[in-house]
Amino acid sequence: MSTFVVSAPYYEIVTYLWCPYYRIWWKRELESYGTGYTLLFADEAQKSFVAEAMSKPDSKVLIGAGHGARCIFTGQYSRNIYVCGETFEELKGKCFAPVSCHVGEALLPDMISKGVACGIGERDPYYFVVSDENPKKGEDPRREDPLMACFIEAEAFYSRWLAAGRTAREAYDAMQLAYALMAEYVTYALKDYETAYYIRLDARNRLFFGDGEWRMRPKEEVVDTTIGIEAEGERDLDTKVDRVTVTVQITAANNTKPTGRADVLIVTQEQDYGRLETVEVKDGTFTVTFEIPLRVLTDTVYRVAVIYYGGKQDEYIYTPQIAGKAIVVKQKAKKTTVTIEKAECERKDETVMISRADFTVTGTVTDEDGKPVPSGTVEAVLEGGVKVSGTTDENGRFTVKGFFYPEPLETKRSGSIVFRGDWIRYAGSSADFTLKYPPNIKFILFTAGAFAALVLLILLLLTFV
Amino acid sequence: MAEEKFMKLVEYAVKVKSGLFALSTREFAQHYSEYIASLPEHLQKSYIVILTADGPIVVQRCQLPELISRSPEIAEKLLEDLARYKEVTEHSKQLLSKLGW
Repeated sequence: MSTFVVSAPYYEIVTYLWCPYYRIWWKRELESYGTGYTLLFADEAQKSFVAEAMSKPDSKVLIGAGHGARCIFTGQYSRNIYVCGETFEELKGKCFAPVSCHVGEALLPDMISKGVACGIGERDPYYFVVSDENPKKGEDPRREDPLMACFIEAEAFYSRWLAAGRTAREAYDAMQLAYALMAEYVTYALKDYETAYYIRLDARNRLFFGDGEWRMRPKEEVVDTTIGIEAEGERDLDTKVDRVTVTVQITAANNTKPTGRADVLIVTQEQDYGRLETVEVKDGTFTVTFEIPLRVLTDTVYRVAVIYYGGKQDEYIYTPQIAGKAIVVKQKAKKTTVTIEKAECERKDETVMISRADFTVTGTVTDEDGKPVPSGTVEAVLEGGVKVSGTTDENGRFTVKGFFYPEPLETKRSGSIVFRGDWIRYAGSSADFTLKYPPNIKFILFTAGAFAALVLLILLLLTFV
Repeated sequence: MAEEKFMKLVEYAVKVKSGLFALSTREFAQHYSEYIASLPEHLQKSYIVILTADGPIVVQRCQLPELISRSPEIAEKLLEDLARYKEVTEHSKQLLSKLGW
């Protein structure tokens, strides 16, 4: 039986954070693919134990955690396990893939040149982010600490894909894709942009070395699978949700019906929404429906990813797969039209210099079917910053009344009626109007009189002089 | 809001790394404080583990500005990583395009 050897030191913050995953969840996961799991925990995570475990012919992959430098991979108490320049005898033809800073710089290339089949290694040191929640015993720790879990989950992909019979390169590609998907989840579901960025950064820094065609188990042992996704979405204006239904069909090359577990991730940038659902696969199919509360009135693109984990069922080992789809849910808001029936204005001179203009605008708002739009907000917006609002009645009719103080010689002013609707059923619209009124007569008479008096005065002065 | 503040951090890092700004750890810490203040409380309290040559450093996110002020090495490392934003996000987009996203 092909076996993973797990080096799990346990002496300071970084190493002990990983241990619940190795001891509880990861062990259970990898064994469910029919692989062996040899855990070297705490004081066992040292050179002699690792070398002894990896010397066994069935031990095919070294995973786990440790610290590292360009040429060093360490275990418990930072004691060296592998160093550049060694022969790496027990690793020959095998895979080296523990999580450790820097080992991708020099140690892994050195290992590959001396017969190690393949591996993954960090180019840089990395960060990770954890919440202050601890996994509970026996529970899937990914649900307890989603921030840490996203980091772990991406790591887990590599060994899980190997366990399920995929090649080293396929496992690495799945891991890279898992990083990108988890970053989307953290962005849209958790709204933690910084952690999402660190997850992407870590993906960029993690490099693959060696033979991409290397497998942990012979290809003949596994049954290839493919994922077919059907997805449709509708906008429900009564409940104000987008309902997206994802139907998945997983087919096996030997026509059997795969079962097992799958994750479905849905994210949308437009609604700033993300969710991850784990489902049970029966007879190769399942359906998931997401109800996403509407936040904006636009066409919305929903991106769906389906991760099928494959695994051992009866005598078969089904290969895991990742597939995706993007679907668009159209906005359903009806177009509206504002029709202005009357725009009147009456000017009253209050003093010689000041007059007041009272205006009334009436009209109707109808939808694209010609039906009245009730209970909507209309606003009259005039040049010069005048704004007055009103509402439409059950027949879609509105009357907006207001006033302003025009300039003495002003005779008209432009404006618009802006309809805002209820943002979800009806789109906004507007129509222009012009108010016409006579100039300030008192001002004109007064100005003309004053001018005539001035002219008369000048004539009189000229006569006497 | 938090996304905008984070992008300001990125913008600052890119300018420092391209030589347009000189690194001022106080200014960088100030930008980081503004970003952290824009986060929900539970994210302000989450822990960041930073691996250094002297071993791991574990701080709550809200303590990062103080750490940046005290340690030019940490400030430099954070800036370097933030300055790679374009390259890193492009890599991620390319991966997701395989899914038809």
